[in-house]
Amino acid sequence: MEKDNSEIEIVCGNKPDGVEIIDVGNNPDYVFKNDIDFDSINLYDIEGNVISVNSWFECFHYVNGGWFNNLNNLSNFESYFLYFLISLSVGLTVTFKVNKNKK
Amino acid sequence: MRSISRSKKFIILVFILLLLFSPFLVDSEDNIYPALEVGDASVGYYQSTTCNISFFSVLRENYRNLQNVEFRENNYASFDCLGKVTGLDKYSDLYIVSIGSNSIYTLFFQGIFWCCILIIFSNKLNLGKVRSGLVFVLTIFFTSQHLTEERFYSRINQYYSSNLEIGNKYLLSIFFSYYIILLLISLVIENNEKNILNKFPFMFLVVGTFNGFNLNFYSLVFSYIGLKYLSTRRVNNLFNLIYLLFSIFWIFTTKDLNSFFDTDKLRGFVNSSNNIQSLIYWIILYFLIFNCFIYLSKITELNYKQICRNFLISGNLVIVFGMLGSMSKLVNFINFIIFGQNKKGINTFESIAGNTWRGFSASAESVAEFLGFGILFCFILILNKKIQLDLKLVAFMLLPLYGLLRANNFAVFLSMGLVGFYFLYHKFFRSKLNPLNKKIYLLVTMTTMISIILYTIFNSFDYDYISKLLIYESALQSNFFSDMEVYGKWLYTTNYFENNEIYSLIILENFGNPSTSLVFLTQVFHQENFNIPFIPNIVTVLSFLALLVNRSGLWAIFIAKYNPNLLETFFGNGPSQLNNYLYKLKVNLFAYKEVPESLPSSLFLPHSSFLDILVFYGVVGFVIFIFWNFYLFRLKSIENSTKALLFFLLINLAKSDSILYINSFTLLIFVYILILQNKEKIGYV
Repeated sequence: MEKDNSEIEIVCGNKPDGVEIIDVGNNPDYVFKNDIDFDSINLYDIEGNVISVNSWFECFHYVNGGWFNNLNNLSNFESYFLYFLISLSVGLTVTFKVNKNKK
Repeated sequence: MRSISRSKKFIILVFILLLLFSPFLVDSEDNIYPALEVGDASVGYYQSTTCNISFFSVLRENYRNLQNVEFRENNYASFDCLGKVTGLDKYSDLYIVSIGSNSIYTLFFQGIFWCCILIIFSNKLNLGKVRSGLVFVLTIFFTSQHLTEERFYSRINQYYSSNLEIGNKYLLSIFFSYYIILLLISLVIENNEKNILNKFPFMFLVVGTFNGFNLNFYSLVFSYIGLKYLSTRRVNNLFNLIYLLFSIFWIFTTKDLNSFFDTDKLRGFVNSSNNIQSLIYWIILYFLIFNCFIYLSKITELNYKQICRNFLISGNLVIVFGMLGSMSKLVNFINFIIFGQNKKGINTFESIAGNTWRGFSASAESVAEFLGFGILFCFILILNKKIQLDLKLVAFMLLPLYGLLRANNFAVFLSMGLVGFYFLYHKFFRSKLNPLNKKIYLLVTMTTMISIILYTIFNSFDYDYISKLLIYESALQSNFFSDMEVYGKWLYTTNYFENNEIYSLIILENFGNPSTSLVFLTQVFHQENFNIPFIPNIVTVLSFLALLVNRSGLWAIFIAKYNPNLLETFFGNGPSQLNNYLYKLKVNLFAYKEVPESLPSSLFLPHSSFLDILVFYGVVGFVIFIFWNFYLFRLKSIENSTKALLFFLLINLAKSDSILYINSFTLLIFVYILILQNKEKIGYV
């Protein structure tokens, strides 16, 4: 899942000078170096997992892999489902009320 | 409303089921990843492509290779992951595929599906009868459980939020889901309340526990009926007054906010928390359920033929789906979601603990009681010529009998034999004997049976050993000599008992360590405190009974653990409150004799519904329960067979925890209603 640079910059900020982008892949032994000038950012994945990134490159790696920093990204389906439930509740209540008044 | 034929209703049900299941059938909208064969090579692949590939796609790619693949629900996953693979893990040879099954969605899915089943089997449906006022009140009540049992729900769903604000989508979704389900329940109940109980055997097939919820569908149904009854104001004031008094005492029982019961196989019908709010929730829920049963006992029009048929159909389906689940892990997963099991069915044909096969059910004891009861019920109807014995009926009894054999519940066989024998005697000999001969016949039979049992037991164990057995085994499981290994603990404890220094061991030297129930029984056993000539000590009688039903080790653990204060002793902890029993006194259990090796580390239940009643309602509640059953046995009935069914059930409940399951609980209530509806207007036997 490749992300364009503008999206990465929105989440992680501008790429600092001297940061070299390498392909880490899924190597579990790779250790990201902390950048004391980088303010930690919390990122979330689609399953709701949270990670705190401490360098621009670490942030780049995760955002490029599909992680994001806005929890609202998670809740679209939930919102649609809620609207559906509200509509169904209103629909059923009205149907039953109308039939009650017919008696 | 224009009536729709049952076949059309069935087609609509299948369509609704497909619609509800659709998130499990299609990949995510922008998915670019194909499903691969599950294996070592694809573990990383599935772990890095989560929430894209649907359950159906994985199935289609792996249907030839499902022996080592197990599907598990992942309720914590977000809506985006609904019905999609959220992970793949390997445990030894088994690949576990996690499927996103967001609990809010499955609540709606299961609720709508089960309501549709009820609607299909409803005789009439007048839309105008729905009472939305009652529905609204109950919706608020059931939603409140998400606040009172916060610890349970917060670990199930990642969107969980207890904030009471308009933007809380989690609570709003729960609220509207309950509202819709309860509206449909209202539609069914308002049109079919008089014969709803005739269909109760299907509670053992559609178990009704909502996935990821500590709530059962039937709690919604019964609460609706209970609230409806209460709204008529023609309520049973004596029962409600007693219940109110008990409720006041329950409020003052021990609360421990740190203790948490994950509900295990009791999910849906037990309190997970030990706080005042959740206690009040369960008190109200049981209040509604009890009132529902009182109401049903008054209005139900029992149809014996239909109930027998439903027992057999449900029994057959329980065994068929149990066997299919044993053969296929996929069916086991689908069973879990579709039927709302509180625990997945057993995934092997092999018996557990060396001798029992629980199949579809969470409990081997509970399912055996259900199958045995169903067969017995139909057998009695045949003897009483209420139904005709034909080949079809015999064929329908075969699978339940097979299930009964596999569940290997000796108590069910024994009690079925006793009740069956009584009926055969009643049918073929009683009318030919005069009353005196009848009494002699019964006396001789009873004396012979008791003599055989006593001879068998006393031939194997001496009286002194039996009389101390419960206390001895309970002492072994208590926190005595806790710095020693199992053997040392056993040796020291046994020495004290052999030297008759029981009082010294439990009361004096280990003051503060044993449970209050062990201390009480020791004091009762101590001859200087209670010694009525020629009458066996009550502890001796209990020990003997425990040995007789093979429960000495298990009831001894109950005694070692059960540590109530004075208030809890008399009035219990409240309905479905197991927290104090489970966690108030921690004891280091160890495998010993018939105590299975896995037991010390697993959930330990009292192994008797009578003990469950003692924990929930205390000594006073237990005495009321005993008197209530005596009252029913003494009632002059049009049909005595109903009492035999109660006898069968009570014998089995004495050694099983079945009352903790809502379907078995309803089975007991069903027998009560059967007896009450068969009583003659006035008189006792």
